[in-house]
Amino acid sequence: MLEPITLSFPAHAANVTLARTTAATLAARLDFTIDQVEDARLAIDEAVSQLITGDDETITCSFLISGSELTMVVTSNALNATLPDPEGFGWIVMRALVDEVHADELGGLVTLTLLMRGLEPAGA
Amino acid sequence: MKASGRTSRWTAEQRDRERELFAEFARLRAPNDRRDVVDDSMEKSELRAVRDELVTMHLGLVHHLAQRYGARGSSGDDVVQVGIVGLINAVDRFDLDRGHEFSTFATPHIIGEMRKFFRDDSWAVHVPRRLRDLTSSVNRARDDLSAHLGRSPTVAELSAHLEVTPEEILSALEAATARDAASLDTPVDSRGRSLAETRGLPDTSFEQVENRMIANSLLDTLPERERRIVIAKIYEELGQSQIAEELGISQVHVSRLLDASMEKLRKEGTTRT
Repeated sequence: MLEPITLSFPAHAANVTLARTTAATLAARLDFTIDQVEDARLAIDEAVSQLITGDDETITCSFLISGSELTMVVTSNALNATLPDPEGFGWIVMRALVDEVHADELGGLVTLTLLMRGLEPAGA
Repeated sequence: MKASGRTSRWTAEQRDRERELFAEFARLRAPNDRRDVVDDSMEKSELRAVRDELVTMHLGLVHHLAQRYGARGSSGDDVVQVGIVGLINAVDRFDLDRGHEFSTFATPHIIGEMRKFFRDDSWAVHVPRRLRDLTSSVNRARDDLSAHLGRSPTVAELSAHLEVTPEEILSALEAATARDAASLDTPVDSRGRSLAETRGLPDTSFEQVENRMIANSLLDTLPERERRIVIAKIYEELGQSQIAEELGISQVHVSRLLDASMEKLRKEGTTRT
């Protein structure tokens, strides 16, 4: 497992692009199909949007690459962020886009973890 | 129709209703040898009503996904339209017995149609010609390679196929979703501020532009050679010796003419403003 790549930014809609672009670049590096690259882009957009509450909080996205897996961990330093509604569209969209999604609350901070698996390496 | 789909979650009652409708939908579509013509037309209209309700109750998901795609304005409506096509396909293909949630099943169908939409060639935003052409090539190659591989190609495969760098492929893909211009008044953050409100400061260059306009009209009052000297000095930022060389006169002469011209402009300027 490589060291994570971390991106922190003020929680404004305009900054979500940063997370999208980073996710897409890393997904491409992992040899994801371009549909998966697009899924990664949409999924992180969804995750970040879930955590923006409009309180000028900071969003941190960590990207971990391990083999052909990309794990994206999105967290907010806002104490009033809430776990995604399991019947909400956001959650359903994330679940449809990535292989695994988890939502955790620790010490009042909400963390969303998205895991995507790329193609099996050739010859494996 | 839109309003009913605007909530952002499903309630337990809606889930129950959804299952009920799908069961009904499956029953109505099952082959029935015994039905006569009258029953047939009745069943058809019943079938249509069930299908309509299933589609309508999931419109919110389509709107939500359209938003994820950054769709706003006129083409935003188009994105919603194609998303609804995906939703209808999903309704028709959904099998209750497989044990999936319909919304989970439908999401990839809706996204698929939206993807196709963004692959078409119509642009509202100016994208550099090269990137535009590349986006078209990427889209074509994407279809060709998908058919060949039986899955969508990787960025590396596309880059090898088209002989461009992976970065270029990524920017071509990003550009594909930038075909629509969002209004500056579109609210962009949770506080409802518009894009225009979050961008820009008073432009100090306006004052400079005004001053230049005044200066231009003043310049017309100078004889041609003096005008040339002032323009060369102020606008082209040439040195006095360069100007002297250009006009074939001495540098001292340039200096004297420049001083006299500037003095004259200053006087004219103060009387005018």
